[in-house]
Amino acid sequence: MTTAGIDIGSVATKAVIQSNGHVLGKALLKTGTDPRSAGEEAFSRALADAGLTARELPCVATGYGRSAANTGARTITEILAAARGAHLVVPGADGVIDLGGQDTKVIRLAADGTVADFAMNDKCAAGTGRFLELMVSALSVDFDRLGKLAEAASKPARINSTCAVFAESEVVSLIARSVPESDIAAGLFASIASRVAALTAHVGGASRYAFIGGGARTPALRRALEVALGRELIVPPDPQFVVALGAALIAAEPHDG
Amino acid sequence: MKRAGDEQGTPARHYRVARVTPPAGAAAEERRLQESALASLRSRAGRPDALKLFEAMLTAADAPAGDGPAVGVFCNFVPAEVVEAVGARPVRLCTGSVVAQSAGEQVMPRDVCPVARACFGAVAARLGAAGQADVVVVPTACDAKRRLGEFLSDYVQVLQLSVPPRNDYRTELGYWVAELERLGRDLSALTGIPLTRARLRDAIERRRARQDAFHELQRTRLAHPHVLAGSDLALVAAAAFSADPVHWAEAVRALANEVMALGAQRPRPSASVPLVLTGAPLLWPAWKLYAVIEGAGASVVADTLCSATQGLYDPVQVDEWSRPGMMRALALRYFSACLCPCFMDTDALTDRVLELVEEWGACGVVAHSLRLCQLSGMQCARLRHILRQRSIPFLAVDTELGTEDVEQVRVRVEAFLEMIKEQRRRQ
Repeated sequence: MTTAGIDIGSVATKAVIQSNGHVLGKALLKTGTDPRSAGEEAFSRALADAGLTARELPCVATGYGRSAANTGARTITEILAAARGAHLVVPGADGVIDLGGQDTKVIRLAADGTVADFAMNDKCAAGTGRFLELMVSALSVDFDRLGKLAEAASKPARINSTCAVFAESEVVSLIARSVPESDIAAGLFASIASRVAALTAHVGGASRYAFIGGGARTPALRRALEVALGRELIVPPDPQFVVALGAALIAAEPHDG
Repeated sequence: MKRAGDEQGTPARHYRVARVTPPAGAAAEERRLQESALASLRSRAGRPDALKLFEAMLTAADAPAGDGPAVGVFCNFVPAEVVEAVGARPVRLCTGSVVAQSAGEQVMPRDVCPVARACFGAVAARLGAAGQADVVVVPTACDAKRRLGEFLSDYVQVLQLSVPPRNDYRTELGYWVAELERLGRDLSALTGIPLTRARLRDAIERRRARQDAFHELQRTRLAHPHVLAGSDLALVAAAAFSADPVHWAEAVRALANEVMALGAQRPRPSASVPLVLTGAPLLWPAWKLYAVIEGAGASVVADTLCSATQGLYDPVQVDEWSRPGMMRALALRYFSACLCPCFMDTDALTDRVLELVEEWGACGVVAHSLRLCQLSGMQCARLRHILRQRSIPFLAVDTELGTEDVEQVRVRVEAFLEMIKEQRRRQ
């Protein structure tokens, strides 16, 4: 069955068209201030990418803008969608780490890919993509540069504060003390990684983690997490589309309300 | 009633600090907040009619609710029987109002307990029920409450009630009885009515109707849990804090009869997910968590919250109707009136949570973790691990009084329910 999944996140909106687990088309754009239009636009572009014209596909929406999505679409949370998507693209995974713009999620998967337990960051931005965005601006670099800097670190700085606001002051004082920016960058990734590692403990840990979401595209972040967790993480191709794919997979499942 | 004299009880303070200026339109804003919380309760179809009685009790803050001066109380530790026996009436001042909270921030720092800020702001700006009280009793339950009395003393007379540091009656009961005696003396000096054996006995017997009626309601709910939503049960409990006990008990009996009748007509929905709610209090009108849980199709069947049913279970058990015998019975009862982490250990809470999960057939446990309440946060962390060992789904919701994070709360609650439903399908 051909189905669609739309993931309207706080930063980016993603859409996937799939059939029997194969991605036929996908699209990604900034969510901006109108999640509904972002959802519709992503859906149209994904359809075009798949070379399809029929809009009457079973569709499931997820992400923060899920309830604003095109009317009539069933909605689920990004936890359930991430679990389904990760179970397909990383066979045998029993854990999922999804580092998103507003939330960081850690999921423990049952053998059949259902959610056994999950944990999310508490209310504040510590350990989320937003934290890194703030630090990127404190260091006046872009995101890719932050990752490259971290890879060149010789002695990662210790960032004690996990509060984004305090960490920003900490970064400013590290700069003032002439600590190399590569060491600061590496320190920031280590700081996030330790927060995520604490979340994995909340769900009881896992042995094979799929690392998904936009953050998974940054090798420095992945390595920092691998150090904090003491194990290798598996990053699937197109990690930022896994949640949208999961939503599309759920659209193909029987639904009893 | 004598006014704030310093000849008895807690002495007047030597120093006073700046006064809170009631924010412009705060009273109207407060009413809007309450109306919107009520509208959320009323939005559910098929609610029992008798709930209107409790809505009226809860919002009747400005109307005189009986004879005698109003004595403001916080927490579940203050024996209402003692207050009533000396001719006063207890009015519970614990509030979750964000309007009161922002008034409180004129003097209190922003990074102290949100409830302490709100309770202080309500008294200082005389919002809602807090506007009635000229004297307040503040139990030294948690750290914030230890200092709250000082802040309040710039506005009203404050009687501090020192709660024992731990819940062990073998070592603490004598101290606690003496504290309650002192409270009785101080209140009686204010009203001019002595705390006699006969008056205390009357007050205890009048209050007993409350427990009996509540137990009847709970027995009815156990058979028909879908008829009365958890938020409506919390409404019933919140109304109990300030209502006349006999009037409240009558309303509860009427409600129990209606729940029974409706339960016989309405089949229990199979898709509903019954949950136990625990953790920090959900103080009216900050009932976002109830709205999110119930809006997502789950139901709160039981709770351990001091803001809801926890204080309604235990009657005062008097063995000997002498005055010391009654004070001892009151001391024992109010010693265990809540599972507050400030003096109950997590094992006691865990036992209760497990008991409720079993009794009500709950599919999971949600804990309200109020930001800046360290003790409940620490308790949640332990509870999470204990419940996981027993494969009981658990969600801690870390939040504050306002609604700015409602979407974050919603996604966590919805994901929790999806997880439970999938697990249920698999079994």
